Amino acid sequence: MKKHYTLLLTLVFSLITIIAQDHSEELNFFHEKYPNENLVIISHVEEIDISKSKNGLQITIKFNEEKLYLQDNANLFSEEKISGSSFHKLSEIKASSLIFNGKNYKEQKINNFNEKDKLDNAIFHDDVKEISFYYPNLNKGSKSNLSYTTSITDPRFLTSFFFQEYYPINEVTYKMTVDKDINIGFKEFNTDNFKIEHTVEEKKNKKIYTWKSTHVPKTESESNAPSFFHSIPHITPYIESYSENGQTIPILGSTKKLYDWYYSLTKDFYEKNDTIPEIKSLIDSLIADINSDEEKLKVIYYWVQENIKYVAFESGLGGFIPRSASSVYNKRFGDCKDNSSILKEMLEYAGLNTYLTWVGTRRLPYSYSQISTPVVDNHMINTCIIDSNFYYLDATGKYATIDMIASFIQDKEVLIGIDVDSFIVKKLPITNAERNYFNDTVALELNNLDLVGNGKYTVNGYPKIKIFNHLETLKDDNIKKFYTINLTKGNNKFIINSFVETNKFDYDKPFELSYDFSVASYATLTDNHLYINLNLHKDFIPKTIKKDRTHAIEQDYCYKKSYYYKLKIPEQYEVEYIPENVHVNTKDFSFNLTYKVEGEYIIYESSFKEESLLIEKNQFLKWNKFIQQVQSASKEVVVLKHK
Amino acid sequence: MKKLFATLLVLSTLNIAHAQLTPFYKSYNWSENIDKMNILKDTLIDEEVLVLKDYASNEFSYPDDKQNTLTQYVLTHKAYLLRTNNAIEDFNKVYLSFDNSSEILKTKARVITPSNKIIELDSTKILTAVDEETNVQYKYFAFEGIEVGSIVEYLYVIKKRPYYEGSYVRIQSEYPIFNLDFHVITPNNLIFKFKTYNNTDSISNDTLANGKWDFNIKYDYIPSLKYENNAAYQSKLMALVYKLDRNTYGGTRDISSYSTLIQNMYDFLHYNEDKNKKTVEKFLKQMKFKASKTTEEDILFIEDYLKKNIYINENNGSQELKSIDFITSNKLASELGILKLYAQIFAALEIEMELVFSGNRLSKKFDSEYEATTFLEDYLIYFPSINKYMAPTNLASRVGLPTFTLTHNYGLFIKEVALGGFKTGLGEIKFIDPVPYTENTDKMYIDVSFNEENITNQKIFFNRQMSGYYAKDLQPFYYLITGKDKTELNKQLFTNINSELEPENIVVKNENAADLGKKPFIIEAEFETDVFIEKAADKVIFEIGNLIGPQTEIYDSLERKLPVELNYTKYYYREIKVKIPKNYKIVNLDDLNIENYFINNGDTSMAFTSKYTVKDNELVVVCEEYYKNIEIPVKHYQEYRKIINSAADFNKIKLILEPN
Repeated sequence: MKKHYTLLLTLVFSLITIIAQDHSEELNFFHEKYPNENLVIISHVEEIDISKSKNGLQITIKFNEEKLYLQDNANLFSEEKISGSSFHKLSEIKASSLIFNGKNYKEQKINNFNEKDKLDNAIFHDDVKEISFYYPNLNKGSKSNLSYTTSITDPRFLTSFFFQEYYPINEVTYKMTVDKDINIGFKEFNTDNFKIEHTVEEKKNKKIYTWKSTHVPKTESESNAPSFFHSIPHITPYIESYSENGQTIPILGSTKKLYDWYYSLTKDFYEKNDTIPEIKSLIDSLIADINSDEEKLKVIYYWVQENIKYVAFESGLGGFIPRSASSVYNKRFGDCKDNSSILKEMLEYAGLNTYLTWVGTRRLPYSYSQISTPVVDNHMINTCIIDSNFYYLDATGKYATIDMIASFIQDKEVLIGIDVDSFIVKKLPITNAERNYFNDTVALELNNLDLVGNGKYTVNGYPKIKIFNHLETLKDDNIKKFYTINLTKGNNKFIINSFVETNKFDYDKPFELSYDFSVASYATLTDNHLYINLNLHKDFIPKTIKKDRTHAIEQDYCYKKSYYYKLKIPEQYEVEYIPENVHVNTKDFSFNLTYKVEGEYIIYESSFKEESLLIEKNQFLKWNKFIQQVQSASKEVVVLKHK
Repeated sequence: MKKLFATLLVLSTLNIAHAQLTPFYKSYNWSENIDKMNILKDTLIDEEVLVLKDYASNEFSYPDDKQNTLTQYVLTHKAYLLRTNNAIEDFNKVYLSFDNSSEILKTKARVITPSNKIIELDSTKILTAVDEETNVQYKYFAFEGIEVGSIVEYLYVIKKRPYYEGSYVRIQSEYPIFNLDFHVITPNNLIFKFKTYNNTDSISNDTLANGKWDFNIKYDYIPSLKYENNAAYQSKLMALVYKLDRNTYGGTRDISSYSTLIQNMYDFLHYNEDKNKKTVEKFLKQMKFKASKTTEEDILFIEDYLKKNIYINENNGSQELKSIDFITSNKLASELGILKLYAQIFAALEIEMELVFSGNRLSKKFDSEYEATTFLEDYLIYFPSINKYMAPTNLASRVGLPTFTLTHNYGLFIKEVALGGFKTGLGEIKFIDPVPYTENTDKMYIDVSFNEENITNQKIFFNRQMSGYYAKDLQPFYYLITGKDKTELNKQLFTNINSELEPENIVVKNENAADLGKKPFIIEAEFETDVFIEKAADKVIFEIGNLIGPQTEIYDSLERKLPVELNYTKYYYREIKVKIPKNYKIVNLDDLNIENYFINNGDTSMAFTSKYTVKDNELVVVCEEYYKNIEIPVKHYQEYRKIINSAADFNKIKLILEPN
């Protein structure tokens, strides 16, 4: 029985092979395995060699990747780009297309490589060079092959090994060959439930570490998901030390070692500097009549935010070394390190203890205890300590108050540089939802079927900062359009007739907008009944989370929205029906809605609070149930009857 | 005094010969006296940015007195008053681009603070970037020392190979401009021709001390033109165009006419056509071409294959990307390369075609009476036997549905003519008609029923059909999307009506790229939902208007200045059938009647209507909305607004269902 079965299979298989002549077996195999993917990475190999040389350590990475294109849209992937910089130098670039001709793959080598200096919006000037080229003749079943070598010029800049991409990977291999007397450390991230084969070999005076994974599914690209560092399995290597001439040269491996290196790059700021007279007279005039330290801090912090623009020059070590305060003052621009540099000098001149502070934004999931290499952080701010109160100051943006940290560093660790020997690592809090609020209080009336009213909208915290940043870019009629879109009540027939702005662009006070508006034909009248849906502001209702979502959902900040509407019941009408109240309160979110009739008014009060920065996958079901309740409540209509 | 006079005398005798050697830019500099700019500081106080100086001169010069090395020096000098932080963010970085046959001779930049301190930028701060692929170089810098209320000023000179076959210069912008000064300086053997647009004054002509001509236009003040939606804004800015017409040394005339270009283009398209015939035939075999019943089908087959299989690199001008051999064996081409391939394929198949040059009408109108290369920015191919156009480098189009910005505009048509046994190209300027509104349609057929057991729950069957430009981003690309992305795209066509809809049983028809412009893209789905229901005690409110999705509402804010210019003509059709649930009646059906027409010269050029009928407990609502013309003059703006807002009114209709 078995024999016949095998024979049948062979027959069937050879029949399939005969029919499928146009495509290689490889394509058939992978197309069946990944029918909905555009391409599969057949193999991704990086071989890193770390050895001692005359000038310290020599680190070279040989990169090779082969891709197989599975669909008719293969030629869309013709263009390939690779980047290098002064710390990561590219060489020996080879690329080719492999076209299947019915029997085997024929190679078409690429000879034309174009180099480009990248001009970027975010970074004004750096030393990143991009090399681009085109794979010719790509179609379904073709492959592409790319290989190049990168030399890393500073041992601290070892890059991580990533075991997953936005395309499925058939096989990914990292091989690290290290001279025996170089001490290497590794840290794994997101590798629970992920299979990596790991071997360590010793050959002569080298140690060879290999990691390999096969059949790796792709990671999904989803909106509002935390950065891929949070989910993609990866290993971060670092060089702890190496011995040379009997001496041990330390590189990385502890927060102290990282800090020592950071300090060496910035030590100028820990030594006495001559503050230029212009800065002195500026500070003198800013703090002239101020006695309290907090007030001094405020006025200087606000000045730097307002007057130093963000323009980033990040060439080579310019990406790590702050420029002098006088230079930043004269140019009136700088990046995060420059902003920190000038703020520190100004605050210290005013007698306030201020320290350069490194931090990784929320894009990076690491803490300093987990990994202490330059991968852990990507931003610099200041810490000012007044009477053992810590104030974290980021002068790169605007409208930040001294008590509120930037939203993109909430819940992250900071490395505060105190002096040559000491530093402090502290964990930043998550700003409370009550601090970030939107409040809309409105008096409503019905003018026939038109809903008219006047309201006061108040906003504070992070949402206020966001609104101010946007308002700065608007002029004339676009300001009214912006308010109209954001305050829309009911439907898009909502028109603002006039408005008054209070505390516009004020750092400390909440922003207030008084406005009067109308919504034409909002109410429906039929058969002596008036129907009005008082859930005028639908923007607070979150969207249902899709069932097949794979990543958590990240919020910029926790916030609260509350609405208070007082509708005057038109004469000759009485209330026939008001909807039920709704109360849902959990630790992550809450929603409260009440209707009350008070004399000739109907009072509608609703509030929505979101209190967590992250909605994990295991919360999706609970969250969707909650959204259902909110949506259902928003569909309830008030009914008035003619007396 | 005597010394000065003697110097002047020497200078004037050297006259023309010497003057050719000293281009104007050498003696040009910004003023050390900033008073002229400072007096403007308090004008137009509501404006964020004032352009205090806008100086540009294009000088054509023979630097070494030999008549064959004409050079162009472009001198640009600008100054801006920046009154807000936002203005500073917009103007604190400058990028100057030039190709590798050009040279930047001079760059100066400075900041004048509100207290009149002048901070000049050190030349080491002017950085360079190179792009090897496009051969473009950049010099870029960030101004240092800007505070709110500062003036930023810069000037630079580029020396380049002369370009004189037609340059279009806009002299108006969204910011008010003071001290506008535009010059074309030429040796007096070169005669340039000018034309101005949008109420710009005509050009003056002065003679300089060195005998050169200075064609110029000056304005003390040009008011800003504010951007308006649905207008061809860029094309409405005050502008001028200039070109070299004659050289009196040698007597050449019509230098910038299209005739040379027409000839060159024709020769390029058909270069080595006979030698390439074998390669072309082999390529046709490779793409499995078989002649079909109609010419249009043949054209479509070729177009579909080339657009799907040849990667067009628009920025690369290399030779190989223009070679038929290279293109067919590597499937990579440049823009010109793909045109050549089309031309030689159609020649091999004996399909008559005309290459058409035109440009984006929203940015600049093709002037049918002034020949200049500035109007020749993009390509179409016209097929006289079927009277249709194809856009060869636009992936979001197929023959019969060309790039809409090039339609409703004039173009230069190059056809092949035979003179004796000799073939050549002949040019003609004709109008490219836009695609009529009956071909750009968005239709919805919606069936709604209520769940008798749970009246707030509805079952909806939704069929949507999009044709013409409405499908241009769907049909040509649909085949590229697979798996999860395809499901997402399909869903989005419904979730843009309401984000909470969960479409099921999605069926798609006519999704092939070749269907574009021929058959409508059809997508249908079912859903069970309560998003269109509101509750009011025992009554049910059905938000029937929301079924058609959100509609634009035009507010009556500032008075409209520019005429409306639509991207394309359009037609919308909505048919909604509602099974009225047993035990309920709809009490406000008349709210469904809306009728708004605009009749222009006896023809209804735009309208919105909705009507209902009820039969056997089924409510049928039919809506039609259309815009037949691309341009709507300012005087009819309120009528246009009324029609647009009618659709918005329909969107707000709520039907009240009361129990019987």
